[in-house]
Amino acid sequence: MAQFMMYVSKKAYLIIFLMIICCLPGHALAKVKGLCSNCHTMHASQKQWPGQWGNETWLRAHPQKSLLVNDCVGCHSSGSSSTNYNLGGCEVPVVLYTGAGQPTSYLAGGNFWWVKEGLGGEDTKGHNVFLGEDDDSLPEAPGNSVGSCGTDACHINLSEQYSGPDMVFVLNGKYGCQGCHLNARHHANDHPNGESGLVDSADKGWYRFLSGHGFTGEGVKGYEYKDWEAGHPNLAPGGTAHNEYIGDAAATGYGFSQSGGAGDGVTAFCTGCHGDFSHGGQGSSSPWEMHPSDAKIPNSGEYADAFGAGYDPLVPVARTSLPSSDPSKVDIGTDLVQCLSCHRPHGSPYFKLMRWDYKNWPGGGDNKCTVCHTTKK
Amino acid sequence: MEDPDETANKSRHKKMIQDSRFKVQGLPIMISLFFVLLIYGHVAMAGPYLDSAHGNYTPSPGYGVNRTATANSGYARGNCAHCHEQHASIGGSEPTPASGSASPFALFADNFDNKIIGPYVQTDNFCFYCHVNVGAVQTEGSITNKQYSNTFGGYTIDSATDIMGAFSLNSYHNLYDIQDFAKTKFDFFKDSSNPCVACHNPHRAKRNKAHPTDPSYTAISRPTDHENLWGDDANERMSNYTYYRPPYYYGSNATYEPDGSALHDGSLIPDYNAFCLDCHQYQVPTSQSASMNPNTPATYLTAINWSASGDMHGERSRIYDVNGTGNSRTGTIIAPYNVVPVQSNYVLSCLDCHEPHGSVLVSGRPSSYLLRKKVNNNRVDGCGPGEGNFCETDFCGSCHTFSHCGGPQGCFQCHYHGAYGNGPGWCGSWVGPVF
Repeated sequence: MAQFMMYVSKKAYLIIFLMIICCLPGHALAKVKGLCSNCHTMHASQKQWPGQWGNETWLRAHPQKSLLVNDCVGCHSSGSSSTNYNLGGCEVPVVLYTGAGQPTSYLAGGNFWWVKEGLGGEDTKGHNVFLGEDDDSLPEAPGNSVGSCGTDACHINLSEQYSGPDMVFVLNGKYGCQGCHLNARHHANDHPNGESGLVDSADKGWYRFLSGHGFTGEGVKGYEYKDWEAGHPNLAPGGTAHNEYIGDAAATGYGFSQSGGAGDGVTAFCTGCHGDFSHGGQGSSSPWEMHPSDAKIPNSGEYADAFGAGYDPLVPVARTSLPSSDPSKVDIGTDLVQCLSCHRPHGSPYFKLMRWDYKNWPGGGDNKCTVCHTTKK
Repeated sequence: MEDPDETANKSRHKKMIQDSRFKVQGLPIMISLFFVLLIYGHVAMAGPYLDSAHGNYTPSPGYGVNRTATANSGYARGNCAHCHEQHASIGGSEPTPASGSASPFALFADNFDNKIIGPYVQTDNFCFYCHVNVGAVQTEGSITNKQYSNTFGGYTIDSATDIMGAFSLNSYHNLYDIQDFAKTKFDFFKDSSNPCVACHNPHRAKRNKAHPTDPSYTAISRPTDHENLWGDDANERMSNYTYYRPPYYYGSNATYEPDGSALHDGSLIPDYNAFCLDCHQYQVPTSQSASMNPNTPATYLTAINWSASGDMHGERSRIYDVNGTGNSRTGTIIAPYNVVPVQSNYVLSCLDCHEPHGSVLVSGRPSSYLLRKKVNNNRVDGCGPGEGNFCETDFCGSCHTFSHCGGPQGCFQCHYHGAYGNGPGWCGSWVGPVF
């Protein structure tokens, strides 16, 4: 009886504890909201176990770390072509569309549909983050200036489980999404789910959970638009419905800290793997040896007429200082071209993750290069 | 008397018929307009690059840039990637940048390797990767560009059929000197700019060779106005000069350059004088060709004054009659420069006498100064076999008759840009302009 009472007592404490956690105000709980059971399971044993392991469609082949009911893609996928979907009251961004045809709506960062084997299946169109689906076209991150850290390191591929040093964030065994979102913090203290807000610190989980290795203590700063810029790729230019990015034209290196680092924006993050494409390899001024990233769009020559219709979500720029909102104009001479001005990191319908159909231009396709290179039409 | 309501009804009915007629009549126009926009919409949207030779893609297959390596990756003809690799690679590592590393302007190879003296090889100059008639990286394998004398003068013997070949002839526009001068003179020109870009804007240049009769297809841009073509507008042509007359077309004494027609007002020829003088109004440093003018420092070319106060071949007024009246030296001026209106005065275009890229002519002097093989329906020769041989007397004889120059190779001893009685003593006691 005493054992039973103790068991009941423990269960009661656990329930009270979970209720307190789940009932905290959304903004305090930050990113996610809704029932804990949307994402977590205490024992993964709602059905008989272990014999029934994996029989539930919502429960993948084995229990997930952090008591999660699914892996990253398991939750962040949808059979509907959409930017996000509602999971028990929580808006979840969709990174993988699982339908038969290519998605017609996707995140600002794109969608993995185009690379996933059995779906798009074209590795030239995105980062293939799926276990065992090594990149068919590239042996390692192009422009890799970091070295390998081993053949299963993220700088080489995102489709193998990493076996090297933990780099503070316990990276051992991780791959895929966590190759970039090194320390996903859905409970970080940032803006409420479904709302916009500035994310500029480790406490807030960094912009889209994009952080450097733990030893750097740094991550990407940015302004997250509330619905992941729903409407891509057809968002009209001139509006304010977009993320905001920061860049650093004075940077000298790559990554967050190598050779002086590349600032604390997306360019710094991308060049952690693609180092040669940043200030370390692109040159330091015109004429650039590679297309510059985090370089100010000159207020002269053909560039003076850039972005005539205002901010274009199809060609996002970075700011020298991060606004707390999403202004509708581009300041020529101040704002910067960045990696994301041309690429969607997850995947896009186009060769080399381009945001528009560059390869088939002219004759077909599109050339948004002319948004800046206004006389090259 | 007609019922007012009925009248009103008739009126409304008539108006409806008129409206419907208008609509029916307007419909075909609208449909036609729609199809016109559909068919030519892309043309209307095209800009200067897509109108250029490098950006050409239509009508299919077009003739714009189309590098084999990038075409194999699926890039459309005319796409920027055929010349510019944004990250010094396509697909991570292939094709490897031709120079082995990233190049300024994100080009797939270095613009110029600073070779001081030719002859040049393909890797010396980025443009030579395509503008050669054998081994071009362009999918067609070659690009033919003949000499000015041939394309616009009708001459038929090819001393060079590509740009690299022209720059590899005996006398050529020294690329190092062009780059060296341009980067000190023109703001747009960077230290690593291609020497060819001093005269051509690759994002503007058109295919004049295919349209020699139409200067709106000009391939040149003044170095002082790099962002615009030169010669495409009517006020940028040799017809600006009242006293200009183009040379005879090769094989004819009745038709003229550049099209072999009877038209001879210069309206089909860009104003090459203004173009060339953007540089050659100055004493241009030279690493190769010495000037004939003793007043010009040894390492420079003579600054050319083509105005009314300068050379007689320029805008300076004639001082003797075309028949030589008044001149103690014998000689006349021949057609087409001996008739109205140019018999009273004349001005030549630089390219009436010079090739822009290189000349086959071989001289015993420091240079043959890019002089043309064909001048005014005259194949310049007379001093030995071979296409490169020529007599100076035969060159000058393209337009002059004379018998005072001290032998077949004596003309340039006294006659050169800026000559003003400052040659050796045997040139005479001349104190006036002699060129």
